[in-house]
Amino acid sequence: MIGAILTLIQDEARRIWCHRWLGLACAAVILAGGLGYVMSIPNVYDAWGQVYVNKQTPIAEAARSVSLTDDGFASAGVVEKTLLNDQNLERFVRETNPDADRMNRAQLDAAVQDLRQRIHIVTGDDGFVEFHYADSDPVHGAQMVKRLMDQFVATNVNRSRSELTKVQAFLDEQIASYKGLLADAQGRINALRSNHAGLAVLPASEAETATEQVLVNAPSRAHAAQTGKASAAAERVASLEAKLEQLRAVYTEQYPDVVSTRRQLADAVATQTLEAALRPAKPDAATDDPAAAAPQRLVGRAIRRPPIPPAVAAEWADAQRSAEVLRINYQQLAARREATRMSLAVFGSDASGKFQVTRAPTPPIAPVGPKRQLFTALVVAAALAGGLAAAYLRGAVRGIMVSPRELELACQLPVIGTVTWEPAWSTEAHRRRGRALPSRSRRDMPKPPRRPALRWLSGAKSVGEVR
Amino acid sequence: MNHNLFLMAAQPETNPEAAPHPPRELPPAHDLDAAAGDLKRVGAVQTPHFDESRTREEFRVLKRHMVARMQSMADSQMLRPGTILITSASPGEGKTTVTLGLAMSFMFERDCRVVLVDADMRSPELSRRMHLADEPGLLDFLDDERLQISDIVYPTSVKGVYAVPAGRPRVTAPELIAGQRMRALLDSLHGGDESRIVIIDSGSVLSCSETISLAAHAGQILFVVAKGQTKRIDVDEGLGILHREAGPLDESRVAIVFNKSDRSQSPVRYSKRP
Repeated sequence: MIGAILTLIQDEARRIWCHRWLGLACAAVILAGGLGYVMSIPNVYDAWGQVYVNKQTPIAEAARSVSLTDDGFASAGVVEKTLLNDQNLERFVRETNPDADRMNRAQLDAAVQDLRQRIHIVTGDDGFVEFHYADSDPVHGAQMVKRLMDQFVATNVNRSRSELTKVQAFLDEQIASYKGLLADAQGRINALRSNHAGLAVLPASEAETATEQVLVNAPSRAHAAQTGKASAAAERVASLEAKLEQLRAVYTEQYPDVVSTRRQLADAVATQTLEAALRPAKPDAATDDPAAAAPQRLVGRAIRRPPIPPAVAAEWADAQRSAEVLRINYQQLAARREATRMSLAVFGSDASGKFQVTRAPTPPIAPVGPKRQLFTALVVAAALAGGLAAAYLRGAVRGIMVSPRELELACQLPVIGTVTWEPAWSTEAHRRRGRALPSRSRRDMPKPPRRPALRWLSGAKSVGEVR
Repeated sequence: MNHNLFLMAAQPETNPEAAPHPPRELPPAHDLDAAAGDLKRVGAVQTPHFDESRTREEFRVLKRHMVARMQSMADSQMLRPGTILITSASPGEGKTTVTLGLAMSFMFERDCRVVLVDADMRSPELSRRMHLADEPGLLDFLDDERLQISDIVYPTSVKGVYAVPAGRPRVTAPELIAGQRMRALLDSLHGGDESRIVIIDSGSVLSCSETISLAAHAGQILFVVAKGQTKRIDVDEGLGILHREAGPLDESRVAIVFNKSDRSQSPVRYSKRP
């Protein structure tokens, strides 16, 4: 079996060898064409830049667990979506290609696709994002990388800002809606209480109290803020006074810091005085002590309490539950709105230190491609394969005989001999020396041909001995 | 009457009266060696520039096969086994080379005489190699009944080897070769001696119609196939034509020589380079 296979391989090798010149010619053509193409490929330069996306800026750390968003700026998916979309790439093409205006849709799409293939973005877990751009022009490549990096930063900042702004507007709208609903629920409770004497003497439930607090807190929030601001003004006055005392202990009155601090202190005092004038009068302390008055009210109500119909009791319970649900949702929405405000402060600003260009793109000096050695090796391999294939196909198409075995099988006749055509070394050397064998012009000469033409007939006598 | 053909051919120089009326039935040539000395011209035999020892052995192998086949055909009275036709499917496959090599190999046999007949009218390479291209030859003899066999048989530079050149080309060459005079010539060349070998270097089957006529006279046919050159379809077609036109061909009458092979395909595994 192995012998038959080897014989078959030998026959095919001989078949190829019989057309070796054709194979060599094909290989030479392929080699010349391939090498010419490889040499004509322009150099490819890889321009690149690097941006560090800092996920742990001081602002972000301060807003941890408070802000609405965490990060997501340096993930590969986000970069791909925000940077390499068709819209951005088409804009790049229009900005960089002066012929873009004359392109039709298909050509523009092709240019966008070509641009996408040239861009390579590498993102790592450590927050570094590399932007690579392959181009035959290193300067153009560096410019493109710079555009990409600028676009990356701007897109991320704008995206965060716009999204958070939308979220905040949505939450404001929802909170306003819930506020109305809460007011309606409280009005319903009040109506029930006023219509039914039995309900009027009941103590206010926790939900009712909380709802009232929510509704009351809304207009009083400004007052609370003013109170906070007043205390802040007082603190500022105190700190400035302390600072002024320290400075006066060391410097004269004309020292610039002393003068400046004195001016700031005057401003702070004026501010404090103005806030004190605007602050409303303190409510009456007697009416603000519910703990003292509650037992008396409960006793009185229990004595005067009339019976409550079941339907009214059910309606009363339903109103209480609705008010409770609305109150909970309202509080959650308010918490979200605060988180959104914090997120907008953290991630909606490009000056927050999140994006740092750690390597500015510069025109590369050494090309990264094409891999000419590899391509040359491939071309050589292709040329050899092509030459072998051409020689083999030629032999197969011609149907030539390459071995006695094949001939015998084909003709079903005995092959009784083979004649080898391989010049002897002696005759080959004779031929190379240019010693021509006897020509026709010597035909009448009764001399035998010169050696070595007759060397193999060593047993024969020369023509001179012909009788 | 002197039946020595070559002596008769030599006689016109001494006896001019015999030349104008040659006998139609050619007598056999009994003693070629004895007559060769009377001939004037000599054919120079050039051997191929091969690896001589190896080629010599390869032709010896071929000769042994041919001798064995001749002995096995000795009982057959229809065709002379000593008449060997060398042909091929297409031109340029080495017929003349095989003819010369086989002749040289037969020459080594004791008391063996070889007559080479160049019957390749399209390309008389054998005549050219022997420098006899311009001499009267086979076609002249077949066309001109006044010529004697001794006029066209030439001794060569090798003892025991004689040559019949093709002669001047004629349009009627196929008809002349297919005639009875050709058969008579072959019989005369054998001269009733089984040790005489007549090797006919013919044209290729697919290009020369006279080859088919010659095949009908040949006791053995050597079909030359060149490695990497002969197409299988041509071999099939050539053998088919011979089979149809020159009688049934079996392996006792037709054999194949694989020519232009490389060293690894040679039956000779060792050869000492001279």
